Amino acid sequence: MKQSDRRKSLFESWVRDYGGDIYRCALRLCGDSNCAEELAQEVFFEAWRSMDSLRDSAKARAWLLSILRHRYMHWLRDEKRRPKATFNAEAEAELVSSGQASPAELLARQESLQAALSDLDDRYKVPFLLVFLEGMTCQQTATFLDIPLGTVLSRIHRARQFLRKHLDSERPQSGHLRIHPEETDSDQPPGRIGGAS
Amino acid sequence: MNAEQIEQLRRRMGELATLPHDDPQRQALVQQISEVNGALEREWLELIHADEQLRIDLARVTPPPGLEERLLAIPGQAGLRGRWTFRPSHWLSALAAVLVIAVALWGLTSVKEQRVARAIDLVATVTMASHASEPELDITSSDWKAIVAASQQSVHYPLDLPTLDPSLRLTGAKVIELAGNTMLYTRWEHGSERYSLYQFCGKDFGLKRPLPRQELKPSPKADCSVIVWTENHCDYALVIEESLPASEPAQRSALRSI
Repeated sequence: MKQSDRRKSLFESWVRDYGGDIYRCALRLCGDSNCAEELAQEVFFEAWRSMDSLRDSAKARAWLLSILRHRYMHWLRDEKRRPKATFNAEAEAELVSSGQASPAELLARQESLQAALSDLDDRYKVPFLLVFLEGMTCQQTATFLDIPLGTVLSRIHRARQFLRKHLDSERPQSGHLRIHPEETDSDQPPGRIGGAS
Repeated sequence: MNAEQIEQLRRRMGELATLPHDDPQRQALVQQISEVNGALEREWLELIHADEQLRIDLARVTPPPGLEERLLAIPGQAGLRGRWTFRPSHWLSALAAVLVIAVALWGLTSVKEQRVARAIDLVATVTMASHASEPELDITSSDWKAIVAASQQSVHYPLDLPTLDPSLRLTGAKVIELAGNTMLYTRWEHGSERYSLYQFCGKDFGLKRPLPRQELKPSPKADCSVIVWTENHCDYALVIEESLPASEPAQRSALRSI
């Protein structure tokens, strides 16, 4: 098999194995399905361009996630866009038809969840999604983000508290939950204030 | 265990619930919970349950139809079109950047041209004024070499004679300062007409390139005009009076074709 064929074959396996994960994570990060697809395309384009730099293909997933994280930060900075609480209507329709929950219940839950995520500061959102959505362990997340394990545990705990508070309230009052830039991880609710760590 | 200790334990429950089941910290916490009271145990189980619910809710995303095919097509598109394919906004950014650069260059060129024009206007104005005042000559001679010998030390650029109509007669010279810059003024005559030639260094006036030959006249009614040009790396301004007799069109033409 030619070198170029091997590259293409490896790339295709990444798309099949991780394409959905990357899209899912992108959607949860940016909150918009069009943006999520754009980010996913950028991630895989970057992966195709620089796949030779990945020495251990077993780490492809983490590598793709790190590309996603960087692309997401660029997206936030370049476009000065804010995450929006929109989600994939087709996915919702599919879930509703599957009978797992009542349409109203599922729709409300998804809307609330994405709205809460959109209001969650990236410092908390990124480690939370890596653990809760991407299945990384806290230690892997700490290594991935280059922050102490204790910080990861604390941020995830606070992210979870923030989301639950949002989801439990009938009318999310994100403005009251935001924190000021000078506030840190310590005792403040982790509302959105800035970029990911 | 007091209320503060229970609150600390709750916090640790929140933090350690995300650790793997076999993690020693988590195992120790579970042991501690089991030893405290049933209420905390229920909270722990609710926490675990809620976390699982969050995981399920978060994963409830279906990629859009055709995404995989579009991602699989990337190698072909990348080879053909490069990364700009995927961000139409990048094309717009590039186009905007080119436009900005073009406008900036145009602006820069325009500013430079204005600066050159202002400098030439200054040369014309000061030489015309000097011509009108008829400077007193320091050297009275029709010998160009003698004038150079007497004047070269006073100017910082090589003195050279430009191509002039042979009918003009050199009468003398003077090193003068106009607009703060040194010039060699030479007076020329043709019949009863008087001409003033000024050799100067264009760089002194901010003119860094050869001057395009041009005739300047302060106003349509002015009785003289100035021809400015560069010849053999020397810059000149020749002031010509407009009272040349109509019978001498050839002479006038010759002067202006310098």
